[in-house]
Amino acid sequence: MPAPDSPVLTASLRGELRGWAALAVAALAVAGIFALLLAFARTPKLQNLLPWPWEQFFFKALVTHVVYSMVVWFLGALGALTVLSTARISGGHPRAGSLGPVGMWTAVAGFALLSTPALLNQGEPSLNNYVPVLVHPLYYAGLGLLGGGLALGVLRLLLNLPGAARIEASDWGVASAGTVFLMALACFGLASALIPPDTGEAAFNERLFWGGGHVLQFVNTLLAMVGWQVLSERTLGEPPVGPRLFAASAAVLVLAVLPAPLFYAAFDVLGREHRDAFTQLLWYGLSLPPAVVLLGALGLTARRRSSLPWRSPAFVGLILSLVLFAAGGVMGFFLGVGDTRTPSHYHASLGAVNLALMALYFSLLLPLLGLPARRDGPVRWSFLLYGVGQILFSIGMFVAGAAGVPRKTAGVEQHLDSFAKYASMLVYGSGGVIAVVGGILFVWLASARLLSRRTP
Amino acid sequence: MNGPGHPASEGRAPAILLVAAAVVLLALMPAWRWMARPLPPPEGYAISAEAFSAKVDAMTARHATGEKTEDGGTVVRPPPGDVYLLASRWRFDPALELEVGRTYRLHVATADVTHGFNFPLGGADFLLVPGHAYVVTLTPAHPGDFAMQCSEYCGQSHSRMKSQVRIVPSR
Ligand SMILES: [Cu+2]
Repeated sequence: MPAPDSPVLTASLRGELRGWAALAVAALAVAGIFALLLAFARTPKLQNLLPWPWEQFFFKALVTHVVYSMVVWFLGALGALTVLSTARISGGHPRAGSLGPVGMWTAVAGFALLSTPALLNQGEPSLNNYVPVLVHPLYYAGLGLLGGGLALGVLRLLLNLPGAARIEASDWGVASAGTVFLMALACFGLASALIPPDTGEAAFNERLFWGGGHVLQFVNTLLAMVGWQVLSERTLGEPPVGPRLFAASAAVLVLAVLPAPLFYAAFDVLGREHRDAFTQLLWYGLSLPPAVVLLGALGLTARRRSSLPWRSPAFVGLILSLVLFAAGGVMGFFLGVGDTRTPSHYHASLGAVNLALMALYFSLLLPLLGLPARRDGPVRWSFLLYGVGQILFSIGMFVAGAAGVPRKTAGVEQHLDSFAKYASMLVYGSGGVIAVVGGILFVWLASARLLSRRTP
Repeated sequence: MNGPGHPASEGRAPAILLVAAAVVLLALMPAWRWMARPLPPPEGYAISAEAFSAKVDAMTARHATGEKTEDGGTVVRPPPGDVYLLASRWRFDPALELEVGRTYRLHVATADVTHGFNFPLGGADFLLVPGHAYVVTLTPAHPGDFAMQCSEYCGQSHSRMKSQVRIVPSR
């Protein structure tokens, strides 16, 4: 049953949506395969079965795993949501319609190029922040095509905003995410133009992706906010915040990244001020808007506590996403300390974005393609396993970091310290395994549905 | 900002409040002040990696305690005054032992690529650019092990580029 606000999907737009949806879930599948290869490369006898020397392959697999799960999957989801919003605000007949399919196929080509160097065991791995790299022309070309393809879809959405008859709050959210994405691309472009060509590989890649990588976190946050708004509307009949407040929250995030290109003019791209300015942009710009929507959603669920739809996968995904994001927010106050408390923040926050998108995938994207889940149970389990696993993983990681801080303790206290460390490592390890099982289940269910015939 | 489908007055106050709060928050960002007045550079001087390494080696030869750290670093206990620390992929050498209440001028430089020098005890967090040495003055107040780490991505094992300065009671 289509929702009353469902967009008008012509055959062409449906094809685009299907392409982006497939690209997104394929990114998770590739990330999962490389995660398995990572485990292979670490396991004594199995490692010899790999066609390449495992020591070299390990870091290449790590780079590929991270870039597909942390970059390509999010951008694929943004591509799909962009098609939906474009269809909705244009009544199915967008201006500059051909930008969409061209963009989608460009991104698909980028997707393919991006994985080629790792499979051929080519390129030096660089584990720099945000967008890790295999230093190989095909890899950079893949990133460029992926980003350029998505930019075309975003441009078409923005071109269709003026004069639109009706723009939903979530469409403002998607358009904002798209605008922020274009700002991230501008940062990557500025960085590549400004970094001196004789800069060493590590510093080059780190600073190439530093500014734009920070801006991409605004995109991820907007994706989560759109997810909360839509999922809450669909499962509780009411959004977390009114449309005007939601649009303002999204607009604030766009406003915050507008000065980002100025940083490239004001500060040396290789200097310390450049580094710290972007860190501050996250601190000062990214905290307030998601907190507003998050608190709205938590307030709404508290008011409805006696009648919450716990059997609905979308609701389970929503609530776990909210809990993870809130946990990540608290952990964010410890950013910058040099132990595992910093990565625990990233894992919780990005896990929350993942869950919101996973829930949107099954409650919005697949039904619009005529491919709703056959049964709710397995879908709910995948969200539950992934969410609870991520919560355990990030809390364990946080506690391990806190327990590992060099402290001057003696005797009994020291033993307590190492016990806390040991216990938290155990929670963190098992949480990781549970989350991986949930993730694999999601990829399996989503791709099986995507590859199946439409239900009549 | 709202779609034409929504009544014009609904939820306007919270939206305005949010935008105002966000603008205030962004205005407070220290980066704006740096645009007018960049951060003062850490005290430093130009020196080649070879010349700096020679100073580190000379100090190590004279003041090594004979002990080794877990990761194979040489433990050195130099007298107060100028002490030298060399960053390289992916370590800091040597492992320094300093005394409580004495004043040291800690010279730090990189032997290869740019690293970040994060050393909370010395109140230091700056980049180590090749060709320069930087000076941190410190007078430790308490004994203990105090961490330092690289704070700028410098290659595969960057996240393991950590060391400690041991502060011991003065003799
Ligand atoms: Cu380093």
